[in-house]
Order: sequence, then C-alpha cells, then structure tokens
Amino acid sequence: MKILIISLIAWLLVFFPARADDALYVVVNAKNGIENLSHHEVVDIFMGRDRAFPDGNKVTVFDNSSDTETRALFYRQLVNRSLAQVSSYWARLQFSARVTQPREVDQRQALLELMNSTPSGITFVKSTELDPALKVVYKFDP
Amino acid sequence: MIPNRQKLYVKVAVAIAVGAFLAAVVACLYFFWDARETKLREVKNQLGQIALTVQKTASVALYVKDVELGKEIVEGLEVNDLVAGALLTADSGDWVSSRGFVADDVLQVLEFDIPHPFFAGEVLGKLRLLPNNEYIQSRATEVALKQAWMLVLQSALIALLVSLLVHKTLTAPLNRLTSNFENIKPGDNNPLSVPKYHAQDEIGSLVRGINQLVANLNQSIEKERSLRQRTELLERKFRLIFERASAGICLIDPGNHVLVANEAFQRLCGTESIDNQPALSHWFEEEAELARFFDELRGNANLNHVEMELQLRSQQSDQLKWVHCLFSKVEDSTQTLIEVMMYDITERTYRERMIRFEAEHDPLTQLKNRRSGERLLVDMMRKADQTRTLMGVLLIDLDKFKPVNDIYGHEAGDSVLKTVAERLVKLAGKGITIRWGGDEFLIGIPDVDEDYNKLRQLAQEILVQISRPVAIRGSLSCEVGASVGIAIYPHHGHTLEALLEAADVAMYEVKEQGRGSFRIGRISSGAA
Repeated sequence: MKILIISLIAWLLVFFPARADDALYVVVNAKNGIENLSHHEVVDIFMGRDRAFPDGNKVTVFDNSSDTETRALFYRQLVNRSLAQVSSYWARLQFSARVTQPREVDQRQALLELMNSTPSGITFVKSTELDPALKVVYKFDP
Repeated sequence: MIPNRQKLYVKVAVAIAVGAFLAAVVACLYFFWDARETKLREVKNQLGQIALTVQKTASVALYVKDVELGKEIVEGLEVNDLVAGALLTADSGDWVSSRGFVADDVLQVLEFDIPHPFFAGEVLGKLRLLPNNEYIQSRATEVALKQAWMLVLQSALIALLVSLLVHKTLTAPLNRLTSNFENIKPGDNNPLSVPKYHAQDEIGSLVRGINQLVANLNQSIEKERSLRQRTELLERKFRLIFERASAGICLIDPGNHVLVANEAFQRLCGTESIDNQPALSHWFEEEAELARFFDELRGNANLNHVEMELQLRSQQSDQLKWVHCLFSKVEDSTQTLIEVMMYDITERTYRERMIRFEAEHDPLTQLKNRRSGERLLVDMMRKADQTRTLMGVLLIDLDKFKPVNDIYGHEAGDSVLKTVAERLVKLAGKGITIRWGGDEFLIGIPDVDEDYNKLRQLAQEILVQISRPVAIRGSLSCEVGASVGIAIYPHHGHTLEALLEAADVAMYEVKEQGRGSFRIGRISSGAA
C-alpha cells in the first residue's frame, strides 16, 4: 500500500510538475500590519469564529470563488472538508445574527480590487495570482 | 376419615402454592430490581445518543460562540422527556443553559465532551445533561412492575398447572386408593384394583403390595383362628379333666397358700372356698413335717416329685382322712409353685390295717399269732444286740386246761384262754405277748437285769395271776395253772430256735417236777 502511494505521488510529480508547484497562499492587504498567521488563526478567521486579526484590527473575509477547483483545494487544506460540507456548515449558522458567511467573489479582477481597497481584507490565492499589493501571511504546504 | 387439611393433595397444593408464591416474590423482587436497572442503563444510553445527536451542532455553536444556536440546542434538549435540563460549557465556563437545569444536583449530571468541529482531539467545551429522574424512575418502575406482574401471573399459572397435574396423576389416585383401603375388612378377600394408567408406576406397585399384604394377613388370621379354635377345644378338655377329676388338685404359692383348686379338692377338704384359708400344711395332721418338706422341695433342685400318705383334717368332721398325696414342683416364671394331687385312701387304709391285723393276730385272744410273734421276737433280739442288753422269753403252758375243755365245753375253754391272755398282757407291760399254740403262750421281755431277779418276779406273778379262778358262765368258774420255762438271750442261745428250745426244755422239766412252777433253762455246754 505504502509503495503504491509512493509510486502514485512520484507519478504525479513527473506528469504534473506545474500543479505540484501550484501552492495556495493566504493573503492580506499589503498595508496590513500582520506578518504571519498560524493555521489555527486562519481557520478561525475563515470559518467565522474570529472577526478580528490577532492584533485586534477588524477582518473582512473574501471567499475566492473564481476557480472552484482552487476553492475546493483551499477548504480541503484548511479544514479537510468538501465544499458541500462547508456550505452545510454555513447553513447551520444561517439564522445566526452574530456570524455571517464570507462574501464570495467570483471575479479575479474584482477580488484584487476589493483587496486593494479594503485594508482589513483577507483571502486566498494561487501562486500565479500573487500580486505586490497582497501580503502572504500563510502558505499551505503543496 | 382423615380431616380435609391433612389430606395429601391439599398438602401438596398448599406446598406448591407457598413455594410458587415465595419463588414469585423472590423472582419479582429480583426482576423488578433488574428491570429497573436495565431501564436506567437504557435511559443513560439514550441520553448518550441524544447528546451525540446534538453534538455537531453544539460543536459549531460553541465554535462560533453563537448564543442563539446554543440556546436553541439546550432548549431543544429539554423538550425531551428524559432530559430535565441541559447546559453547554466552554473553556471559559458555563455558557448557555436551559431553564430546567439546576446545577446543585451535580451527582446525577451526565457530561459529554463537545469536540472542535475542525480539529480532531481538541475539546471546545462540554454538554451537561440533567436526567429527568422523576420521569425515568417512573418509567423504569412502570416497566419493572409490568414485568413483575407478568411473573406473578406466570407463577400462579404454573403453580395451578402443577397442582392440577400432581392431583390428577398422584394425589387423586392415592385418594381413591386410600378410601378403598379404608374399606378393606380383615379376612375379606377382595383385593384393591390397580387404578387405570398406573399399572407400571409406583401407585401400581403400591396397590399390588397392599394386596399381597392383605392376602398374607388373611392367611395368618385364618391360621390364627383355627389355632385358637384348637386351643379352646384343648383348654375345654383340660378344664374338664381338672374340674371333673376324682383326685383333688391344687396349686400352692411360696407361702403354702392355695392359689387354685378343683371341686374334688374342696370336697376332699370339706371347704366351701379356698380363700382366706391357712397355709396348706396346717390342714394336715403332720403339720410341722409337711412345712419342712415344702421348704426342702422348693430348695432341692433334684427333688421334683414326692409321693406320701398323710392324714388330712377335714373341716367338717373330727375324723381324719387318709390321703395319698403327690407333690410336684411347678416352676413359674417368677416363683416356685407346688402342685398337689390328693386321693382319698381312708377306706383302703382301714381295710389294709384290718387285713394286716387279722393276719398278725389270733382271732380269739387278739394276741399276736405265732408267725408274727416270731418276727417280733427276732426284732427284739436284734435290738438287744444293738443295746447290749438281755432279753428273756417265757414259755407258758397251761396246766389242767384239757379237763376244762372236756367238762365245760369249748366255749368255756375259749373264755379261759381269753382271760389268761388279758392277764398276761397286763403283766407283760412293754414286752410282747404271743399265743404260741393251743394252750401255750409266750412272752418276750426286753431289758432283763443281769441276775434275772425281775424276770423271776414276773414269772412268779404270772403263775399267781393264771391260777386265779376264771368265770366261765354265770357263777360258774374254774381254775387252771401254768408251767413256765424261761430262756435268756443270748445266754441260752444265739438263735430264736435255740432260745425256744431252751425254754421248752425248762418248761418240760417243770412239768415233770409237778407243774405250777417256773424254771430258767440251763446253760448248755455249747452255749456262751
């Protein structure tokens, strides 16, 4: 079994080298004082528990839904849940006054603009979408 | 009949009922407790499941600290009958609780961990459930009670069935058997019948055993009855023998008192009743000897039967009765009795005495005749030998007797002889007087003195007395004389013949010398 998994990974590395390099990054506005976030902090922010950065500044979450595949990978890596499970999670909190689902942004350009204009913004992007206006605070292991 | 409460089937039924009741009580108690425990465990399990149901939502609510959602969860839990109240706690402490949750009942509270929705192994808080104990208990009790009742019903049913079965298969046949058994009369030969379907089991063998027993009993009763009849017959015969016997029969106790006696005995003794009589020995002339004899008979193991002739004092007359008695020892279990058989031999005894007297005596003079006289003389000689004394014989021959006979007749002679005999008996004293021949008499005298003086005096007196006149008829009388020859034993001979010879010789010498005198025989040269 182990050998099978190892050979599968090797196979993936040989035929999809670009994909393997295609890591996901959690980014904030470049002007944000936060330099680094832990995985735990990222989860709490994205899943609605914390509405502020560890330094106390307000946080505004944008859910990057421009690419379903990337989004699915993000939630898989973040909380090991499928997109359906994540929607179900939010559905439970639908009538809560306190917690709201992050705003979904399905245009890359629009997302970039929103990030630029919102100092408290936070989102996730692929490596190809990284921009000088964005500051990486957490990087998922590929 | 046996009272009802002692009857077997009642006993069995009561025993089964009591046993079933006890078993039911114990089983009910156990099952009641067990059912309650099971129910309580089940409820606890159910509470766990309920907690599991809300776990995910609670986890989300706790994660985002959504009070609304939390409240919704705990209040939703409280709706459940089993839950009295619910409380959600976070790391920081109690978070949201339902109204029914009262924190003071800490012991009963069930606690469930609420995990982190995203990170396995992390615990966000706890869900505390307060079980609705009242409801749970009442439910558990209800269930347990239902089970207990079922058990009671079941036990009662089983007891009833077992009772019926026992009654049907065991006690009812036994009961029938018992009532039949009570109707059995000893001697009747109608055995019990084996109840249907019980030929092979214990009841069947019991019946056969009873029949066997009854048959045996009947046999022995029959045997006993015929034996008793035989005994009665025998007893009647024996009683007849005892009662009608001509011999007097009685039994005397150790005090010599008469215990039982037959009619002949009473007739013999002339008594009306044997009660309150003196000891038997007093009834006889030989009183003292008899009392001693009784003691000896009882004491001597070798002595069993003794015969003797005794003189019985009749209670009605002064006359004595001669009785032949047979005494036999009868060993009773505790004491030694003596059986006495008596025959009246009075008449026989008198007849015997008469015959003996006639045989030994001269019918005319009533003196001893010559034959018995010789025997008496020999006895006297033996006695003299033993006592070393002397003994004398006086041979007396009447003189002038023949003329009396010739002149006055035989009757006159007879009366002379009688008179002489009477006179001689008087003179002889303790000596014996014998009519030796026709007109010859002989007197034997014991204890003669050494010099014969007394003997000489006696001889002289004899001569005097004989020569006195003898009255024969009316005023007519006559006179006789006597010649006496004397011999002394053992001086004149060692045998009677020698002695008599010596006396005879002496007497003839007197006759030759003129009669009317006496002479003592000479001691011959051959004699001692």
